[in-house]
Amino acid sequence: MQRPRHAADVVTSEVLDELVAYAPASSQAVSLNASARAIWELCDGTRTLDEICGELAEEAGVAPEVLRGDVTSAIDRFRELGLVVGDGR
Amino acid sequence: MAGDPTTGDDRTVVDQRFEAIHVGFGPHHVVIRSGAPALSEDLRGAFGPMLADGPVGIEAGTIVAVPDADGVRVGSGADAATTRVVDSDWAPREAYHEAIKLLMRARAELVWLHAGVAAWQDQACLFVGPSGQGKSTLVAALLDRGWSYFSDEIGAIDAAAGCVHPFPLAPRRRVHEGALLAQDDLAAIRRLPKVDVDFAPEAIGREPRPVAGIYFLDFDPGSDGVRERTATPAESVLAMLGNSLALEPDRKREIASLAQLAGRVPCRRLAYPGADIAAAWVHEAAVATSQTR
Repeated sequence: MQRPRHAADVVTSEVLDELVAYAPASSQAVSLNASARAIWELCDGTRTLDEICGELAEEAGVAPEVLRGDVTSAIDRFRELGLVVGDGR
Repeated sequence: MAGDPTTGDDRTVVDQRFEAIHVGFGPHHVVIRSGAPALSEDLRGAFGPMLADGPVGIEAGTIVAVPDADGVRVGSGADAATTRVVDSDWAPREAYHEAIKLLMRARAELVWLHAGVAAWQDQACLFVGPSGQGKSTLVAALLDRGWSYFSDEIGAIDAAAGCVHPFPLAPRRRVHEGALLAQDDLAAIRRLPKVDVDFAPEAIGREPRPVAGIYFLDFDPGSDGVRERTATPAESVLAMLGNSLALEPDRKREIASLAQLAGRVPCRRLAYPGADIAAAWVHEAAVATSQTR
């Protein structure tokens, strides 16, 4: 099972409480709010999708299945933008 | 003919045949050596307030424009070493853009944005947006209200200092002339002809000024008034990135600079149906701010 990780050339910058991420491969930039940033930070190449959902769910006090759809969508979006490689499925 | 016009080896021959136009920006200038009077006239018209009487400060590079059988040969760079032949009608724009690029490269530490810039008293505002969003027309309307002119096209920003440098290309604005346009037909808007904006020489900004506000423009001719909302710093960074003019961008440094700017300067999205209405709104806001300082 793949473990999503940040694309090697992504540039990030803190902008107050948000994170701006720029992917040279797609020339696209996006700002990550707190939820998206939490998912992004767990995409470090060491965790599967299930493990990412599990960690976030534990923090939020919900079952992992509750978050799976949103986490999957976020990682898919990161991949489309060139921010992340590997989808964890 | 003795001498080489591209290197200026024989200055006497060059001076006789190739008019030298000097364009200044801060401590730098670009020399444009033009072999065609009509092209020279176009360039003088386009650079307007940025023209200098002679070389001042550091030379950022030379542009040479020489008519030849196929059009106009335009050379650019430190020794006009990079050349290309362009159509005669296009040659003024080619030389114009190459000169601007040389000045931008000379000041690569600045953040360069597609923006109109004007100042009320000692505070400047940026009006960021792509072609067709009304930057030039809005800046012209602010000049009518006593603002100083910095640029209607290019924002040259020192993000660390939070200030913007004047880059006063000759201002021009689009005229509608009664043409029927769909409100979202940006391509049609961009095809509208442009006319020179009249302004007094004393209205030109000559010194950098602190950036007091950044407006991201949404021209909405179908709306019935100005709609304004605060743009978050992250949203502002994205909007400025989308209007970046950086030539060989170091995106990491650029994003960090934009984040620095967005974190210290109020940023707003401004949707408006016409330049006069927007200018009135912006002017009132600037006056109110200056009265509370």
